[in-house]
Amino acid sequence: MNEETRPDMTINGSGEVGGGQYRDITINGSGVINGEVNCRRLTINGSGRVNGLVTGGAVTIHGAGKLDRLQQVDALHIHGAGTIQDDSSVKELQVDGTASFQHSITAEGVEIHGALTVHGDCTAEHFTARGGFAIDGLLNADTIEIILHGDCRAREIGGSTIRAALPKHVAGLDKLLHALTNHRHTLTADTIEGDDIQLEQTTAKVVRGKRIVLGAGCNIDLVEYSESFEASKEAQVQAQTKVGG
Amino acid sequence: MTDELIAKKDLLTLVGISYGQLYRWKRKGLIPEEWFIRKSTFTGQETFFPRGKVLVRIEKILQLKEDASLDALAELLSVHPLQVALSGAALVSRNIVTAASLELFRRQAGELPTLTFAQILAVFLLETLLRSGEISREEGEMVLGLLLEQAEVCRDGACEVMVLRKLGVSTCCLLAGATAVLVESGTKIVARLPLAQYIEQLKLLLSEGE
Repeated sequence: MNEETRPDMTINGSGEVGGGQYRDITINGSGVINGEVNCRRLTINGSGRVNGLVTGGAVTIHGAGKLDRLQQVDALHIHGAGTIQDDSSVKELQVDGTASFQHSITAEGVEIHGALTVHGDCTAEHFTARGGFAIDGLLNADTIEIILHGDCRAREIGGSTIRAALPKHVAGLDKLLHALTNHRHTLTADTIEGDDIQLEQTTAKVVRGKRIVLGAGCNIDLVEYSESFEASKEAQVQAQTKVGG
Repeated sequence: MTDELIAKKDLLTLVGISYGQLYRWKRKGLIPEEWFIRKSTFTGQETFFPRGKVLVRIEKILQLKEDASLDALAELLSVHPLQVALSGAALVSRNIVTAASLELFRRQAGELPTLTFAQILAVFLLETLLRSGEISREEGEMVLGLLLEQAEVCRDGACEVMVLRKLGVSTCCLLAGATAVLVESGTKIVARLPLAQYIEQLKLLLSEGE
C-alpha cells in the first residue's frame, strides 16, 4: 500500500487499537497499540505503548513510551522517557530525555543529551554523548565522542576514534550544583580499544590503541600502544607497553 | 572440533590490522558474533578467537576488500542465500559441480532450466561428499533428496548434514540446533558437514566468476 494513501490514526484521551499500516499515528493522552505497526510517523504525546514490532519512518516520544521492538526505523527521538524491550535497529537515535534499551541497539548515528541505558551492546557509526550513559555490553562505533556531562560507563568500548573530554566551559552555577550533588563527570570501562584514543577523567583496566593520549583524571591499569603514547602529569598509569610494529 | 584460541591483540599483530578495522568488521557482521570469546585472564576479561577460523576469514576479507565494499562483503560472507539462477551447464563449466553430481540432481528434480541457490547448495554438498569418497552414490542420492526436501531448514545455515551407517544400512539427517549427537555404539557417523561453512564456500565460488 502506498504510504500516502494510508489512513492516519489518532488516539486522543485514552484508547486501545490494533496494529497495521498507517500514515501518521499520534497518541495524545494514553494509548496502547496491540500488534505490528508500519507507519510514516509515530508520535507519542503523553503515554504510549506498542505491543509489537514497529517499522518505518520517524518515531518521536514526548512523554513516556514503551515499545517492544524497532526495525528499519529512520529516526527515533526520545524527548521524554522511552523504554525499548527487544533488540532494535534505527538509523538515527537521539536521546534528549532518558532512553532504556533492555537489549541491544544498532544505529548509524547516536546522539545523547540526556541519559541512555543499554542492557546489551550499542553499535553505531557515530556515537556522540553530551549526557550520561550506561552500557552493560560493548559500545562499538567508528567515532566515539563523549563530552563528560555525567556518569558514563560501558563494559567495553571499541572503535577507530575515541574521545572523552570534560566540557570546555563548566559555568559557575553548574560547578556549584555538581559539587553539591556529588555529580560525576567520568568515563568508566573495563577495556577501551581503538586507533586514536584521547581520554580525560577516565578509569579503565586496559586501554589499547595505536595513538593514545591521556589527560587529567585518568586512572588506567595498563596501556598498550603501537605508535605513540602521551600522558599528562595528572594521569595515573600503572603499566605501559609498546606492542607490535 | 575444538579450535585453538588466539588473543585479540596477538591476532591484530599477526595479521597487521588495527582495532578500528576489527570493530568495523564486527559491526558489519564480517566476523560472526560467536567467534568473540570472552575469557578472564590476569588483566581482566579478554577476547579470544578460534584461531583457524578467524585467520581464514581475515585473509579472505583482506583479499576481497580490494574490489568489494564492506556491505557487499558482508552479504557475501553471511549465510543468507544469494539471489542466483544458474543453468546446470554453467555450473559444470565453472567447475562448481561435476556433470556426474548434476546428473544425480536431474534424476531427482527433473530437467530444470536454472537452479536456485538452495538447489546449487544441495548439489555442491553432494559433490563434496562424493569427492571425499566417504559415501556411496546411493547414499549421495539419499542426502540430496533430504537437502532438496528440507531446503527451508537449510536456509539459515545453522544446521549440519550427517550421514550414519549401521551394519551396512545407511541413513542421513539434518541437525538443526543440536549441540551434541550421541549415537549407539554400533552406529558409525560417516560424514558430518556444517552447512554454514559450505554456504560460504559456495558463495565465494559463485561470486568469483561474475
